Amino acid sequence: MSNPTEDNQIKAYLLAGEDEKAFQFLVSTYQKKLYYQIRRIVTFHDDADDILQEVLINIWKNIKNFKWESALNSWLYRIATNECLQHIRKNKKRSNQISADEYQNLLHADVFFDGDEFELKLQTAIAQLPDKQRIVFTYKYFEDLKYEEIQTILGGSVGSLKASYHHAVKKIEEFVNSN
Amino acid sequence: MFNLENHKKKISKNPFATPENYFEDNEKKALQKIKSLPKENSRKIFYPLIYISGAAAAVFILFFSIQNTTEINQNLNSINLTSSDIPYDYFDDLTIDEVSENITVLDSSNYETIDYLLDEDISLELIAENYSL
Repeated sequence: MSNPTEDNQIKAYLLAGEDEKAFQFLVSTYQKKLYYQIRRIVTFHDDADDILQEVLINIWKNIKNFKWESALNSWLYRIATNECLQHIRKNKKRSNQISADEYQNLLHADVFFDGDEFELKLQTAIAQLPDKQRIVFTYKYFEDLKYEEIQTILGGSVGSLKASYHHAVKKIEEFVNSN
Repeated sequence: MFNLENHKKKISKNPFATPENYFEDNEKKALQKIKSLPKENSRKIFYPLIYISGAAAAVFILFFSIQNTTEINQNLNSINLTSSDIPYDYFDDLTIDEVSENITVLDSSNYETIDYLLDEDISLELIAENYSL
């Protein structure tokens, strides 16, 4: 996901004191990637939209504190992941509080879900995972991030991240095969 | 049997749709939002300014208070009171306690004062007891 050329441009704008330009450039470069990653974690568009707004505001408030010692994308993902977790904790529609059938029905009725029957099953299986496994799985499976990159976003050891991913894969395969 | 690794290779379509022009609109919305935020930021800058001003004022007041006290002490030190400065007539109406209080402050070992107290029929024992002679 990292875009060195774009990241340098953002840094240059910030150093020149052109904060708004830097922010605008950052949003146009990263908002789609952030949105889809958030969407993979929370599934529904309305939730993803709310979270993305908060994420962008947090980025604006803290971009000057970013040290540029680590990759910008890891920092952005970290903010997005934290917001997702906060949202999940607050949200009454929390996926693991409702049954898989109910979740599947909600997703089926969602006008912004464009997947086939198999995607419906897959997303429902992902939604049934515990928060950490779900987040690790989405970063690894869909974003193809290395465990070391996921580690900079979520913390913890590489070993525990590997275990989370392994458990997530097993649970999803079991869910899809049994449904 | 379903296998996720095999499925990964087949993923071609994104199942997540968005409203039309969502990202363009969202970019504009985000820019509008951050333009309304500097007011909050300026308030954040304003509070430290109040704290700094308050601290500077406190240091200023403390400095002049100390300087003023030092000057008063220096003035007091420059006053050399002798027994001749004690208005004996003033003692006439005073009790032994009031006198002792005044003498303690001025000079309790002053012989002329002790003579005065003896003249006033105050016993030497009492004087000795009160002034650690």
